[in-house]
Amino acid sequence: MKEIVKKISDNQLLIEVNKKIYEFEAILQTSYKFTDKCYINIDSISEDIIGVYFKKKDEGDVSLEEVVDKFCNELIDQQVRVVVERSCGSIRDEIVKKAFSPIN
Amino acid sequence: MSYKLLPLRFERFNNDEIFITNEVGEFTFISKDKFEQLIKCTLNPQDETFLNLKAKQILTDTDINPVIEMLATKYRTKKSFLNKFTALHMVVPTLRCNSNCRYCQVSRKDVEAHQFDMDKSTAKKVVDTIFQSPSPMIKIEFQGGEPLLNFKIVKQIIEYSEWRNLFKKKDLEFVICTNLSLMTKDMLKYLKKHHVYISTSLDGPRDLHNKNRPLQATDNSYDILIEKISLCREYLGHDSVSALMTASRFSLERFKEIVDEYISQGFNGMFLRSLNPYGFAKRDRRMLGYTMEEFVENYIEALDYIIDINLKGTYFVESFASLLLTRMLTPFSTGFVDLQSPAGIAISGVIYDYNGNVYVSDEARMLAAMGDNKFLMGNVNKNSYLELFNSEFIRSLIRSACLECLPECSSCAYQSFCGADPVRNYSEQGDIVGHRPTSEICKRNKKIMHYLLDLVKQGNGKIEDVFWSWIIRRPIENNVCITSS
Repeated sequence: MKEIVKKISDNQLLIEVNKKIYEFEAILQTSYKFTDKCYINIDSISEDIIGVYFKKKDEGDVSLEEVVDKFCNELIDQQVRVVVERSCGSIRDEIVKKAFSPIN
Repeated sequence: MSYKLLPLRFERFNNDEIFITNEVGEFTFISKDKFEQLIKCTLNPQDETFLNLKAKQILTDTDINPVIEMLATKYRTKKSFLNKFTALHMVVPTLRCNSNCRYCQVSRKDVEAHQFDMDKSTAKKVVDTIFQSPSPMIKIEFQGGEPLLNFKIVKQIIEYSEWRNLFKKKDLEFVICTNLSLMTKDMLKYLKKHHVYISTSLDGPRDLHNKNRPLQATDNSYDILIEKISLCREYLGHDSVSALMTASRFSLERFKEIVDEYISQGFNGMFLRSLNPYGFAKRDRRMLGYTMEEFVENYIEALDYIIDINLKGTYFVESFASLLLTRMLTPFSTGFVDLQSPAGIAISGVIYDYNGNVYVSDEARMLAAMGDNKFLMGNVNKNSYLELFNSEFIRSLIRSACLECLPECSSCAYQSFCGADPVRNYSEQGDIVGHRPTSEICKRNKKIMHYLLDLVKQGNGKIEDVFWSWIIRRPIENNVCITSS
């Protein structure tokens, strides 16, 4: 995992996420969950790599290394959610549509 | 592929297990290995986990159409609170109040400030508006200020509502929320005649109640309250009076004493409520407030204590847990204005201020009292029912108050048990959508739900019996287990 985490400065880290493995939606949803811990910026680095930049907030004593470790685990869960949603999201739409249809 | 996944949400419950729910809140816990197999669609159809997930409609290996029909029926049942559009109508007969509550959230007015009383014409228009609601059930709840300070308007609203209901034939109910200090025998005779329930506030033992909720005339509000509760029970019956508590900083570490106080006063349940960030509670939060972590820690300790009391044979319900357990363990609809999706604002509950202003919720009225009219729907003296309830403002507000499409909530495994609260989001975080990672309410709800689910997962039959007795609102009879375990 070390290779994808890069230290930019004492209060900034970068994770390089492979787009072939993780979709943008998963990266975005994961990033959102950590916006209480630090400032996060998402940017394209290359055709295959998305960079997620973490910057410490002034308040608190958050360990960026810890945040990044948790981020990586959460990213897996969020990617699974994206896959599940793609697989059965249309079924959910169908259930809700039927639920609110007039009953004969 | 031998089976198909149905819509599901999941969360890592602990180091070993994944918590999975479907669209209608049926849930189970499976190991990480089994979860991986589930997602890869490699679970063995003979496996117990497979059969459990199939029974919970989290996967299917049969024709999908009947399964969708079944889930749609369950979904419709879960959301059937929407049929009661709008059931709860809170009315403020006056903003005047003789209490001096430390955390007053409604910006009370002086007892002589009669300009804050509702007038007859406005009261009539409030009732006319209420009776245009399509809901088959109407609950009119008098809030304050102290409603007994303007009892003549309370009477007018009750009598005019009863007259209107001769034609509308709705299931009509009245509740008066009062500190009881001004309650008289004549008032009680009237309330008995008109089948009015009483909701009061009891914050705990004498010293704590007096500290949180003194009267303007005396610091010893507790003795008056206890005497008046007894009087109400004498006239209206024991179960006609319920009480609510609000936890201030002074209440922390004393939840067990508060529970004991409720039991000793003959109540068979309570709602452990945290402080709402409005009015004096917001202004004086440094003195009165606490973190949500502190509240949850106290709540869980009290919940364990209450469960233990039930296990020892005394039936006593904690209402917030009871609400969540009903959502977790039954297929039924449980509308609760502060915790439902779509949010209950305007479509489940609404409040009419003394001057005819209509707000989407009591908290919205509290915000208005602090100078922010963001959630003002209109005024009964100026606007029609349709202008109030069918406005683009209300429509857009409700569109932004569905967990199904809110950031983080949309994929949250606890979604089926939870709710959206745009007014709270706005008050605490500055916008109606809110920011879940820093939301105090999100933290509270998730931790309490996790704790309850953990208790359910343990499969202790005796605790399950207690939970079911809360859900069906009846004591466990003759120690007969309701659950099969």
